[in-house]
Order: sequence, then structure tokens, then C-alpha cells
Amino acid sequence: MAVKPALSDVLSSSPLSIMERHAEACLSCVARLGPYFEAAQGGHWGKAEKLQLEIARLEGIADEIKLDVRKNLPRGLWMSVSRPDLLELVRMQDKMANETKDIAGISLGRQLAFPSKLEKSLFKFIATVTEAAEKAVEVVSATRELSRSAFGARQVTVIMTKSVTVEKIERRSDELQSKLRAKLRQHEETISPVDAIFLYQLLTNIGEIADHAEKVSHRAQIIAAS
Amino acid sequence: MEVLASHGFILLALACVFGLFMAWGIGANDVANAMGTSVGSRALTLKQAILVAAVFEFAGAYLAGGEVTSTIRKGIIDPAVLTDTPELLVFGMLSALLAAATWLLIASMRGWPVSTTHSIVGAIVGFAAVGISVEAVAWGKVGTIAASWVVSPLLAGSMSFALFISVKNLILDHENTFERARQYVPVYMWMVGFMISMVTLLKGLKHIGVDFDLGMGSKFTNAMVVSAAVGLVVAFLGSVLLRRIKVDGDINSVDNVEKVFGILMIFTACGMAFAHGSNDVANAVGPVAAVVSTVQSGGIIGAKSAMPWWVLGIGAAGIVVGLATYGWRVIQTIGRKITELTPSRGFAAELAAASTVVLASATGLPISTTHTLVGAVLGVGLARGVEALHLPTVGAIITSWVVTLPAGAGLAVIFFYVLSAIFG
Repeated sequence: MAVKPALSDVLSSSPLSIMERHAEACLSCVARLGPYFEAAQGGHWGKAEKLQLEIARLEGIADEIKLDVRKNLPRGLWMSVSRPDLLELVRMQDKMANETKDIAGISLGRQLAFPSKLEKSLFKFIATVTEAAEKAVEVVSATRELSRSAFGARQVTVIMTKSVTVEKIERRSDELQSKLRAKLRQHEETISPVDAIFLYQLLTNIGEIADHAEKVSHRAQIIAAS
Repeated sequence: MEVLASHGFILLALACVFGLFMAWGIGANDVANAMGTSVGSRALTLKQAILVAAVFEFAGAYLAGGEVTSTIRKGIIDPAVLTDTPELLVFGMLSALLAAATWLLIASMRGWPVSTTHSIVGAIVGFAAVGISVEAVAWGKVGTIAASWVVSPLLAGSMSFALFISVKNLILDHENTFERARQYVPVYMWMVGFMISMVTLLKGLKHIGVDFDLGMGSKFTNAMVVSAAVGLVVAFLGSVLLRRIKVDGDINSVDNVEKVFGILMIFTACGMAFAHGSNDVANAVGPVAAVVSTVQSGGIIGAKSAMPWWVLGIGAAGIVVGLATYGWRVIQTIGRKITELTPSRGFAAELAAASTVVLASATGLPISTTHTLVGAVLGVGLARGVEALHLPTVGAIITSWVVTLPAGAGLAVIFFYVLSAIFG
């Protein structure tokens, strides 16, 4: 006798916890960017390739979770947070992972490394961008926590504070990027023009991860304030 | 008339067997919705839930099941129409039991969320209207019952909404969440104790022969005073349990606060089981009581003789057996699926549903516990306590209760003609 208990079917699984899982998967992708460029700058292309594959694999996992989110948000669902907001959040989170995969792909495909004089600032730039992503994921986790405490005023404040941190880090990453661009310009003579174009491209892309992180935290903030 | 004299024993035996089967079905299936919430939120382990359900279902059925039983037994059908043909009532009640049980079996196999209450009421109305005459149905009472099916989920929903908002404002929105939870949770425990005690005092004690009078004037004020005291005892017991909670890490973390509500949920689970027993046992026992009293009085319908209370015992026992043989597995299934309803939410839903059901039991209205609980869960959702609710399921529940009425009625009519042909 198959029994259909009405009650358990009324309660749908929590969308925010899948959201958090997706955010963490995207973050694990971004976190590999530092190690990748360390390998690339050191000229260890074998190791870099392994890391690039790892990034691609993690991005695939994030994609699967993203599809899961979309599948688990049918129209008949009545939620405490708005459906478009959630879908937008997952899209933004996913962009962080996608961007990381593209960056590693471009660099590995052309075996492209930055001039060694730029290394120190580059690592600092990547670390800052990664931090932005980390903090953004923290905001998403806090939103989940907020929902567990039923959208109390106390948790909303926590989210606002965390969100401000993400903005600050994003601004710092912008500054680091423009400094790197200036430095790269001084080395333009020593690198091939095509490589130079792609290096600028890489800097833009790395910076965009922080932009996406900021958008993630903004969207989470909107969900929290709704 | 002769039928009742010559086949009296067989008819009685059939009634008991059908009634037991129906009660078994309620225990196997229905109880799970009442208890699953507590298991899902890990307030109770499966074993504890079964124990709580067994004890409080029995208590609820025996102490507070009388009013609804008498509605099913003699409230839906107008006894005056049947005074000359009492055997029709007996056949009818037997076929109603069989029809409801069959329909529940079919529905369960198909996975439709149907209600026991709707099946049995549909079946009784069906055999009476088609098998006897349209005037045989007490339409006024049936109208009230149908209205209560709409009102009960709404009432439970509003109550759970208010309860959860109160939890938010009094506890969750503050800095010292844990301390406040420990302060306010005994108040909710008091409500559970008060509610169970009220309905037991007002509706239950008269048939176990206990009479009490504190000289407070009316019976109601008497009960109020005693129940308030009982509530205090319950709240005290609860606060002793609350003091024994072990906290890890940040004392105000969501996990630690949920532990406080977990203790509260043990109490609301008892209340829920009591409420369910008090209302749903009648679905099995009401028709049996009708048969028993008609046969024993030699065909006098609605005889003044008191309701045979051992019949309630049969129903209560059937529920417990159903729970022990099959129901525990359903509880386990539900428990695994509804982890989304944490104790701070689950308690609000349970307390609201239990209060609504107990209120209905006291006024003799047979309502669906499951639907009331679903209404209560939606109320918590409206207060933003639940992240996601699946509305198509709510639609399916509404559809199934619309379908259940004619289905139960149709089956009852068929069985009625078959039984009449065999015995008549």
C-alpha cells in the first residue's frame, strides 16, 4: 500500500539551502584561480592544466546545481522569497564560476603568463577578488540563516553589514586592477601585441568576478529586505 | 424488526469487524500526518512518537471522542424517519463503514490524499439519501459539518499565523533569543495543558463517572480554574525540561533556540495526538455505536440508553494497532520528508491544528485533522516561517475531498443494496 501523506507534499524543500550549496560550489571554483596562476606564473603548465581541468569540473557541478534550482522552483511554489530574485541570484552566482573557467581557459590555451614583475600585484589582485567572492557567499549563507530566523530585524542588519564589506573589497579590487593595467602598459614593449591584448582581457575578466560577487551580495540583500 | 432479532449477533459482529478495520486504517494512515511533524523536526524519535501517539490517541478517543461519535451515530440521519424500519439504519451504517474503508484503501493505493472524515460522512449521507429517502438526512447538520470543513483549516491557519508572529516578536527578533525562548515557551506549554484539560473536563469525565464541583457556579468556570492549574503543572514540568538543555557554541544560535522549541514540540505532539484521537476515532466508532445501540435496544432508534463506551475502546484499540502494525512506517516516511518544518514552526502548526480539532470535537463536528494541519502549515508559511510550499498539493487535497463525497456515497449505496438483499 503506497501512502501519500498529504502533509509532506505540501512542504517543498527549501530553495535557499540549494542556493547556498550552489554558491559554495561556485566559490570552490573561484578559489582555484590563485593556485592556477601560481602554477602558470611558475611555468608549470602540466600542473596548470590539472588545475584548469579541476576548475572546469567544479564549474560543471555548479551548473548541475543551477539546473536543480531551476527545476525545483516550479510556478506552483509559494515562497517566502520572490522567485525572480532567487533565479537572478543563482544566475549571478553562476557567472562567478563561468568567469573563472574562461580565465583559466584563455591563459592555458595560449600558455599565457604575466610578466614576472607583475606577479606580486597579480596575486594580490586575485586574492582580493577571491575574498570578494568568499564574502558574497557569506551573505548568501546569512540570507539562509535569516530565513531560518523568520526574517527578523537582527539578521537583516547582519546581512547589510556583510554586504557593505563586499562592496569595499570590490572597490579595492578595482583599484588594484587599474594599477596592474598601468604596470602592464610599461611592459608592453617586451611582450607580443597579441599576448598583450589577451593579458588586458584576463585582467578585465578577473575583475569581473568581483563585480559578480558584488551583484550576488546585492541580490541577496534584496531578498533579505523583501 | 425480525431481522434484528434473528441476525442480531451477526450484525453486531460485522459492525465490530468493520469498525476495527476502519480504526486500523486511521491508525495506519491518518495518525502519521499528526505525528510526522514532530518526527520530521526531530523533536521526537520514531519510538517516542509511537508511544506518545498510542497513549494520547487512546486518551483523546476515550475521554473526548464522545461528541463527534454521537454526531456520526445519530446527528447526520434524522432518526424520526427510521422509527418503523430500524434495520435500514443498521444496514446503512454497516455499508457506510465498508464503503469508507474501501474508498480509503483505493485512495491510499492510488496515493490520493483523502480524508477519513469526508469518506464516512459522504457514505452515511449517501446511503441515507439514496437508500432511504432524501428527507432521512438531517441536511441542516450536514450543512454545518460541510461548513466546518472550510472553516477548520482557515481557523487553524489564522491561529498558527498568530502564534508564529508572536514567536517572532517575542523571541526570534531579539538579541538574547535563547533566554527569551526559555522564558516564553512555558506559556505555550500552558496552552497545551489548558486545552486538553478543558475538553477532558467538559466532555470526557461524565462517562467515566467522575463528577467534580468546586462551587464556582457553572461547570465551565469550574473547568476553567482546574484547567488553568493543570496548565501550570504542565508549564512547570516543561520548564524543568528546558533547564536541562545542553547548548553548544553560541547560545543564541538558531540551533540552540530550536532545541527549546523541540521540547515544546513534545507537548504539542501530545496535544495533536489527543486532538486526533478525540475527533477521528468517531469515524470508525460512530457507525458501530449506532448499530450496537439499535440492535441491543431491539430496534429503538436513538434510544435514550447511553452510548456503549466499550465501543470507543474498540476504536481506540484499533487505532493503536494500526499505528503499531503499519502507521509507524508512514510516520517514518513523513518524518524524513518534512525536515523543513523546524520546531519553532512545527509547534505553531501543531498547536493551532490541535486547538481547532479539539474545539470541533467538543462541539461534535467531525473535521479532517490532516486538512486542519495543512491549513495550519499554510498559516505559518504566510507568516514567512516556511521557505516554500507546494500549492498544487493543496489543490490536490481540495480536489480529493470534493471527489471523496460522491465516491463514498456511491459505494455506500451499492453496499446498502447488497446487505439489504442478503439480510432483508
